[in-house]
Amino acid sequence: MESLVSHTARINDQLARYGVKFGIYKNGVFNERLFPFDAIARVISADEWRGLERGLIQRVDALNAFLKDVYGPQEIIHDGVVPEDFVLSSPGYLASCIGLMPPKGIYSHISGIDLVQSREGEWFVLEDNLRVPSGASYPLIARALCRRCSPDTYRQNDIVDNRGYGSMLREVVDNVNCGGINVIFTPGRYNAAYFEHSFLAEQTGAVLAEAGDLYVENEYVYYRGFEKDQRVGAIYRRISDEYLDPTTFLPESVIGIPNVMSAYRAGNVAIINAPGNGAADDKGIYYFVPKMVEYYLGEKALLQNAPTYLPFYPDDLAYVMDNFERLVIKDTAEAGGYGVVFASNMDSEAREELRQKVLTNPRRWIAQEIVDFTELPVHLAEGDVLRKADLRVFVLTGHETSVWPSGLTRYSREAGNAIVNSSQGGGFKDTWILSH
Amino acid sequence: MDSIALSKLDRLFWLGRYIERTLIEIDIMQDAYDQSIDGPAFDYVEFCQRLEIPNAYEGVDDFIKKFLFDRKDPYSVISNLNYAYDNAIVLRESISSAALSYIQMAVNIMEAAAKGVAPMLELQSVTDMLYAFRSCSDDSILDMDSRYTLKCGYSVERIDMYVRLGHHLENLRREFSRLNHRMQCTPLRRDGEKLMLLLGLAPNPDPENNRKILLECIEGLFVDV
Repeated sequence: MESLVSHTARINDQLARYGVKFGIYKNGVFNERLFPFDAIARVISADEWRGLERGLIQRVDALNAFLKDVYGPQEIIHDGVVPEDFVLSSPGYLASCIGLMPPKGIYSHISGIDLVQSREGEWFVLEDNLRVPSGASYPLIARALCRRCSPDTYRQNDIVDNRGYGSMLREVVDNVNCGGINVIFTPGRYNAAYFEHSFLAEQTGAVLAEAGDLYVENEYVYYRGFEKDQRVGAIYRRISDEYLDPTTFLPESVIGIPNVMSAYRAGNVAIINAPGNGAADDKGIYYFVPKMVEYYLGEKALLQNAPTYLPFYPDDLAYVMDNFERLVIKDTAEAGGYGVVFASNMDSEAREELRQKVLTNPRRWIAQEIVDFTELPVHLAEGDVLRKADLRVFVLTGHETSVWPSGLTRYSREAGNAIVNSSQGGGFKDTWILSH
Repeated sequence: MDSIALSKLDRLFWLGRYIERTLIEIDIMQDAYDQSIDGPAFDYVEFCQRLEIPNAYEGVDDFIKKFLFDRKDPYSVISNLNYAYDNAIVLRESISSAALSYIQMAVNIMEAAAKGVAPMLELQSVTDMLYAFRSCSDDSILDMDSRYTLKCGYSVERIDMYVRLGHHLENLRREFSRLNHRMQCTPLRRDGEKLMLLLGLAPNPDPENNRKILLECIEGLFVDV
């Protein structure tokens, strides 16, 4: 890997050439930033990957079953595995999706599962992202550039090729296409992940569309062509549920497709991922995922959650209050690394304020034991340093569920910091899966 | 892709126009810069009048600096290049990542040139990247409607700038001929009256006397963009 790492600056120049950026709003102003790449890859052995792969497929299959259930017969609630109130009070649970079956019964076609590895080598799931998970494009393009810089690295190491993500994604979209073209629907150029939207459109051969390019007539979706309009069979939307259809969700949304939900309800278009998936990737619902695996699949969960407490339950609330200082407190209403605080890092006044917030509205919060997750080496001009890193793995559900043999490894900007989100200034690495 | 959206054709057309404008303006500014060393001062006041942009400059040196690199000046070369980028960035799947990367590099070099010690030298690299884009996109844009719409943008801007600035007038007739071929291959609709006028003037455009009518016709030739 030394040869590859010596090209770090050149690879970053190449990433700048291809406009590999993410957008960030600060004080109401949009700025695009390059996403720093570190050439020292995270390496996962074939055996370790096989274990992760099985656990990830199991987890995503259970989450899909959960979504099908909670928008259908709600058996998991009737059987007392997940409290009714807990599901219905989730902000991601959409009443307009009750009784609505997506094409082929698939809700989460592209799932981004965030994992961390402890210093002892154990993997933990930190978060499930079943709405609009982003990030696959970064290791995808980085791998292609790394291969150019240091072909010997790839000749001498048995690294599973990750460049098939575009065709995997296309198969997933084609699988549920209801007749017509595939479209990637973006909120536009000023979205944080716009690079990815346009890059994946190119990789999958889909049409990149924005509000105004699509319209609904007689419960069919059409792409507004110059010479003729074309029917749309599948929409890989990169926009949140609330902005998707102003006639169903936020009426003030000007970046959605009016009446797209009526076409979806009529079974004339697939929406990827399905609206309403927030019911299953809520930070609070996360607690129940191992139980879902047992309930729906009759198997023990292969992947473990980080030890988590729900202040919603009185026993857990008492534990959280007694051990507040040593827990991570997460606001279920926040995303992107925001709303995550290590109570030990707070001054006593701020900690007390947060305690009161948890006491007042326990449903909004979860608490987790701190997983002392592993640090990976990061190459800097002055020498290699260690940084906390997580791994987002992409699980795709088409004819069957499979895991993309790669992933986005994100590392934190500062030593000791466990917040790795790009919006917080972190960088990324490629993830190598070894073939044996 | 069976049918491209009007919004994309519009962006392709304007992408072509802004790239061409940037190339022509860099060419002119390199001459102006050279002239400012030991020749008669570049007549930037007349240049602004011909281009119909406000003269907000305090002298020829101020003009050269700001017209090239001032991001706040909506008529500057860097602004035109950024407008090209704004159109290109939303066309990745139509023009390809490979072609888009040349515009990204032109933007990166232009930004570096604005802070550099030998900006004129670096502007040559901006020009190189934009020509590389033209060549790459000609190969990578498979859809004929898209390819020729982009090329119509090049031709329209070239004719517009030639007429406005009296620049490279010897190439004007050739550019009319190119445009005539290119517009047969784009789905964009033409204004029949303006087209007839242009075709009538093409053999002997005489831009000094026909400036107004030529500019009206070329600017309004395509009704969709």
